[in-house]
Amino acid sequence: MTTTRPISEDERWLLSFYRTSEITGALFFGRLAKTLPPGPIQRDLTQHFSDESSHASYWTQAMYELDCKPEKVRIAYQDAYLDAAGLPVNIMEILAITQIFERRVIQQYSQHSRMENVHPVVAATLKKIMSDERWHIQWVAKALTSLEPRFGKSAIETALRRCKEADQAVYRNVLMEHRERLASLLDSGAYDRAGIGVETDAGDDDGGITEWKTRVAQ
Amino acid sequence: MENKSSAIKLFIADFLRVPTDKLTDSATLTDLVADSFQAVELLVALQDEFAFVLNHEDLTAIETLGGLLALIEAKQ
Repeated sequence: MTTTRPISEDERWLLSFYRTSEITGALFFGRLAKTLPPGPIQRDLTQHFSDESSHASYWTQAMYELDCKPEKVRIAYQDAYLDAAGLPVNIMEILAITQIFERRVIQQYSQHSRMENVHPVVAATLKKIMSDERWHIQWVAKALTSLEPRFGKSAIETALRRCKEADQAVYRNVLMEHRERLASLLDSGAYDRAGIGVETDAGDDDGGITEWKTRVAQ
Repeated sequence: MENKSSAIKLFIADFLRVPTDKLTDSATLTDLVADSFQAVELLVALQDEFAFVLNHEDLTAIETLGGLLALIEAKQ
């Protein structure tokens, strides 16, 4: 169900949080795209960088359209990830953390889109972004497979599991830290209070390993 | 070995745009890089340039440039 009601301060913060995370992702992938050697990973990561950049623009445009100017959000979601999971030190570990992060983004956006009274502008932006995010998970899963000869299957599985554990801790912390701002989301029923941090929309809960293996088989 | 260390230091100096005299063995990695993202970029670029593979566990005990250089030597 959608509505044209004004955007609340809490929603303004949440949209700003999304915007900041997309910008942070774009900056990170942009820098990496510049550093990586030529090849399919460089190609897809450059597209990923471009998508994240577009998403930041979509959120910014949406917020201006809604007459709620973006708020400065000091810490991006990705910063908390690096703190919790540790620094990824090679391209495989970067892709592992990306795989888990993208799954979380899809879950978050999907849950948001199921909220009661989502503004149509926000709903349209979520929908537009989510289709790109699905491709992100696909290309990263394929890239991880292509890296098996170099890093080994077991190392990839270990990295995915470590990132998954970090993801659950970070997500739980974010929800706790911003519980007052997120109260409307929690109260809308889009989130299962008892299941905070538990995958509900992205499928398996094994750190993306099944996702990765499924993509490999396709 | 000395030549390899010098080549790695030159690469790092060029990548981070810092003078080579700042790249002492005791320089801490956190002081050399601007932020975590730059650290990731540097590590990926080093592995590509000097053909070795680092993993998460390798870096847990490394704090200085000297430690990193020794680790890279050991990996090659």
